[in-house]
Amino acid sequence: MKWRNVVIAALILLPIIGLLAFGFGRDPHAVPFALRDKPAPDFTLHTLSGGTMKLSEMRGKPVVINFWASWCEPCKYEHDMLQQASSYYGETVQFIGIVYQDTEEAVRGYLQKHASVYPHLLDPTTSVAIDYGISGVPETYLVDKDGVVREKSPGVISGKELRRWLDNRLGGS
Amino acid sequence: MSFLVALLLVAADPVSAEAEAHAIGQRLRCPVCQGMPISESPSEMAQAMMGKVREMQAEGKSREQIIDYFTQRYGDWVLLDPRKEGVLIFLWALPPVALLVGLIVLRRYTKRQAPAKATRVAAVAADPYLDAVRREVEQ
Repeated sequence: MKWRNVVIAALILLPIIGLLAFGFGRDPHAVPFALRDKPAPDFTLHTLSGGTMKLSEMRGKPVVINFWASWCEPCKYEHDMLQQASSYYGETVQFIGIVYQDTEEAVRGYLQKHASVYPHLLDPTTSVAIDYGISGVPETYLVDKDGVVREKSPGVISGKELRRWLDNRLGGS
Repeated sequence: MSFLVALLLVAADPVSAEAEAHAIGQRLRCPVCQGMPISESPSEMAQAMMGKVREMQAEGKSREQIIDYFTQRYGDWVLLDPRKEGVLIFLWALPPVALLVGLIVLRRYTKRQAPAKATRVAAVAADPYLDAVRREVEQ
């Protein structure tokens, strides 16, 4: 009889403990990577130099999309690393920056002080950021040569992680 | 025909459209806030998402299509009330099931306690020593 009670209590408590462990083991603010292995939402945006860029026209090589803003302090930590990575991979990888909720004037001012080797696009209505499920900046995505979203890094991306992403893609292509 | 006219009038009514946008916004979590719906958050991100809701409404998209657009990008995380389907139905079923199990356990416990209490009372009543003490006290 006692054993039966123990078994019943275990059957009730174990799923609850499991559920709590699952819930407390997750960051409730972490936005899931819903676009993984899905076609990258296409966009056509204006560059700071006055031209336009269309994502689907960059097919054939991996594209690193970095959402950033001049008011974003953590974005400054990764800026130099992204420039170096873009120079290192050269023509084999396309790097682009998409400006998130910022003014063109502030972005120009920032880029005058911090040189950039790749184009930066303006997203004045935040529609591209929403298309990618952005929950803040910085946030970086990797779109493969076929236009499929493969990686996402919420927050500051490390050089090591970016290298792993790109070496995996370039090695497999 | 009159139904179609009524439908067109409702579609063209900006108050109804805004009420519908607000209702959709109430179901969507602002990604840069603390569990706040996009319709109530003053953040630029939430306002941009509300703008997207209105834009899709103007394109003739249904409420479900708009909700699907956001869940395809943010996952079910963006829903302030989880969908009542698939694995998520477990979340809705858990509280009533837990309450039911609790009631069953409580009922079984009280049922088991009642005969034990009755037996104890009967045993006390049948004790000759206690009976003698009771008679002494009553005299």
